[in-house]
Amino acid sequence: MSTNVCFLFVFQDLDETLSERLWGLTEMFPEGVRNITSAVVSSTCTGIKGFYGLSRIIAWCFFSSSAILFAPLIFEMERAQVEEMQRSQQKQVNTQHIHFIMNYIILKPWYGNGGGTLSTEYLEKICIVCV
Amino acid sequence: MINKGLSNHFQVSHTINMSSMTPSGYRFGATYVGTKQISPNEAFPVLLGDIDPNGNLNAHIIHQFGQRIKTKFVTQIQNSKFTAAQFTTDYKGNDYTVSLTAGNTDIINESGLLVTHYLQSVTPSIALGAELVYQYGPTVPGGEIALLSAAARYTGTDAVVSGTLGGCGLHLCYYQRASEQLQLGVELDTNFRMQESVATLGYQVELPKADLCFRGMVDSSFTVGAVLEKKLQPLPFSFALSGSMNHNKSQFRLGCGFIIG
Repeated sequence: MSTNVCFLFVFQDLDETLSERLWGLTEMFPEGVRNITSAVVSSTCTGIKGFYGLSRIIAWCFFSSSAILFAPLIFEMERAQVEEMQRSQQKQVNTQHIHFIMNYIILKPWYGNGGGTLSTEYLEKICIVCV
Repeated sequence: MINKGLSNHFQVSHTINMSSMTPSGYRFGATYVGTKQISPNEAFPVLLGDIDPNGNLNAHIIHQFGQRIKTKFVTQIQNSKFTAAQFTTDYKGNDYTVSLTAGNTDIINESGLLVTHYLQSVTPSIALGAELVYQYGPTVPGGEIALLSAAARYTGTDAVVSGTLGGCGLHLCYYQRASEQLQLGVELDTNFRMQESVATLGYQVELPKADLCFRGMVDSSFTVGAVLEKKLQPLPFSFALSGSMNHNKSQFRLGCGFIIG
């Protein structure tokens, strides 16, 4: 009989909300602990918000200043490097073409089936003069 | 800006200036370089002038008499009135230089400004100097006023340190050539009257391979600025792009320029 009554009390108390029950639990701790905990938590929250705002300002200043001070220079240097590489590649391709033309088209009839080649140093000199 | 050289001695320039900050306008400029040649780089007399359609004129006349005496006359005419006229004489001795400048001398109202500079090289790398500014006239409190300031400069192998200290302020400057392409400078400028000081750090990078000259500066009043100049080969054109950002006021300005010739 008494257990039934207990259950009834529990079911009747369900109109207390969850937060009210949790708040009730805090009465377990002494006043000092409660105050310190609340101070620490609120200052941590304020600190995190302030830190986030400060980091936003610093990140903005850093990236906008580097976009003005360093970005154009870096872009132009990369572009100059890529252009130079392209130019040297083009020069190499031209050299290979001239090697081929000299060996197999111009000189081949003279050497017959052997397809003799001129010495490579001589060919390099001719390529440099042409290119 | 269009520069056109008409002969070895004469050059003409047309400048069109379009902006939202200052009034836009057109200026016509002419430069004449004379026949007396002191060294391969310099020739005298040099006449420089700039005029705009309203009649506002800026003119410089520079001439060198002999090996040691150089004179310069600068004037500015605005709205048909001489707003500035300044006459400077420099005498260059073996290890010292004296220069005297008379500015805005008005004989009728008896007012004017006299500036004297004296710079002496104490050792091959250290130079010391002094400057005296003397202003007289009815508008000056007491009839006349004088200010004295001292200057010093030390030249190292790749670096130059210089400073001036006077009644109006302290000015320090350090310049270093870090490598063939990079030059750095730091400057501190203080004003005792207005109680303020500004420190500036600047650098210049030259890349002859990419035909590029890039200058940047950072200021202690939270201003960042940069200028990019690029020569567009093969024609003698130059393109300049500049940006400046003031973090305090959150203000960004962008400008571009095109130089032909």
